[in-house]
Amino acid sequence: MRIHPLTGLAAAGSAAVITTAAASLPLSVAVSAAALALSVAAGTARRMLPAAAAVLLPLGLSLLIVHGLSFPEGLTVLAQWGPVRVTAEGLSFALERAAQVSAVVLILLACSFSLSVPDLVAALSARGIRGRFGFVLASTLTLLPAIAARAERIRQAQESRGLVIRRGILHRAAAFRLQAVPLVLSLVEDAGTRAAALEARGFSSTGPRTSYRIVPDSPGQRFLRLVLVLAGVAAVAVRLWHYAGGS
Amino acid sequence: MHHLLRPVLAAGIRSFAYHDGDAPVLSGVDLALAPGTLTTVLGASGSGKTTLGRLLAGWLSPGAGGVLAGFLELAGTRLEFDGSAADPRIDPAQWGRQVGFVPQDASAILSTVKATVAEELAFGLENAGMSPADMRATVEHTAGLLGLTALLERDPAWLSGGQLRRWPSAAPSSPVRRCLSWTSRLPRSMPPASAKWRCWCAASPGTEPPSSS
Repeated sequence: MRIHPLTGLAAAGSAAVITTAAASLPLSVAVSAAALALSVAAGTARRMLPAAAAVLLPLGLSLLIVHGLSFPEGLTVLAQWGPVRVTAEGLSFALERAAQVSAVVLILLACSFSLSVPDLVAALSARGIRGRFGFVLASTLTLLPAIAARAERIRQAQESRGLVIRRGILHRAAAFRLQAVPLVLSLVEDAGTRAAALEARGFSSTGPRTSYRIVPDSPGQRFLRLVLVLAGVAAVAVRLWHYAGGS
Repeated sequence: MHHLLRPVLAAGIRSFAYHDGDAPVLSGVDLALAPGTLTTVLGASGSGKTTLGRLLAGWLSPGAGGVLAGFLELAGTRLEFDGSAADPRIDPAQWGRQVGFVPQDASAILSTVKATVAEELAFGLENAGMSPADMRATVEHTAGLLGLTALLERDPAWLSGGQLRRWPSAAPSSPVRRCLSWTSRLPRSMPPASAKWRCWCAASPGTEPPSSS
C-alpha cells in the first residue's frame, strides 16, 4: 500500500519527538539504525548520507567540545589541561546528546528524502491548507537538491571558461569562493522571477482552491496518524510529568 | 485594418524607474497593441525591453517594483499612475489571465513542486478553483494545442529549453488569454525568433500564437 505523505510525516515527527523526550541512548541508536535501514530500503541512502554527515559532524564535534571538555558535574577525570577537564560523565553526556540529535536528524532526513513532495502539496491542499504554506514546506524540502543542481551548472560553465579545480581542500575552497557569488546572485534573481510567475498564475488568490493530483488515503492510515500524534503528545506529557515529579 | 481596432494592450510610459535606480529605465514609450498583431521591439542590450515586457505582463507592479508615471491599459481598462501612494494596484493573477510572459530563463516559470507536466499545467487552474473534471479537460485540450500531449506524464524539470519556452502560452490555460510577450529566442513552432522582444495579441481571446513561416 502506498504510504500517504502525512502518514510519513506523522511517523517521522512522532519518532523524533519520542526520541527527544525519552533521552535514552539505546532508543536513539535504534531509531538511527531504523532511519538508515529505511533510507537504504527506499534507495535514498546515497543522497541522504552526505547531507546527514554535513549536519551531524559539526554538530557532534561541538557537543563533544562543549560537554566532553567542560562538564562541571563530571567526577571521573580522564585527562586535564589547566581548566579543561575531560571527564567520563562529560563524554557520556556528549555521546547521549549526539545519539539523540543523530536519531532526530536521520529520521527527518530519511523522511524528507523519500517523501513525494507533489503528494505532500496535494494532500495539504486537499485539507484546505493554504497553498502558500504547502509551497513553503515543499520548497524547503526541495531547496538543497535545487541549489546543488544550480551549483553544478555554474561549475560546468566556469570549467568551460578555463577553471581547473584541483584535488585538495584548499583548491576546492578557492573554487567554491568563485562559485558562491554567482550561485547566490542567480538564486536571488531566480526567486524574484519565480515569485512573479507564481503571482501571475494566481498563487496568491484567496478564493477556493482545487487539486489536480489525487493522493489515495485510507481509514487505516488516518487511524495510524492519530495514534502516532497521540504517542508523540504522550511522550512529551510523560517527560514533563517525570520532571515535575522529580523536582 | 488593425489600427482601427481598439488596442487590447496599451501603455503610455512617461517614465519608469526602479526604486534603487538613479535614472529612468524607460521614458517616452507609447504602445498600442491591436488584436491579431505581432509587435516587435528592437533595442540594444540593457535598453529596457525586458522591463517593458514585464510591465505589460503584470510581472513588474508599478509601486512595488518601481515608480511609473503614465498608464497601462488592458482590454479597455486604463490604469493611470503618477508614482503616488494613490496609484492603482495591479492584481498579477487577474492580469496574468489575459497576458502571458516568457522570461529569459524559461525554467523560472515552473512551480518546482509539481511532479508531472500535466500537474504543472493545472497549477493556475487549481489556484482558480476549477473543478477536477474541467481541469483535466482543459489540460488535455491545451496540451493538444501546444503539442505537449506526449509529455504530460513527464517531470517538468526534464523539459527542454524549447519546450519550456512554449509553456507560458499554455500554463495558465486561460480561455481569456489575449496577449503573449517574450524577450528571448523562441523555438520554430512559435513566431519568428530573431527579435529581442515581441508581443503577440490574439484576434480573439484564447487563440494560440501563430506558427512561424
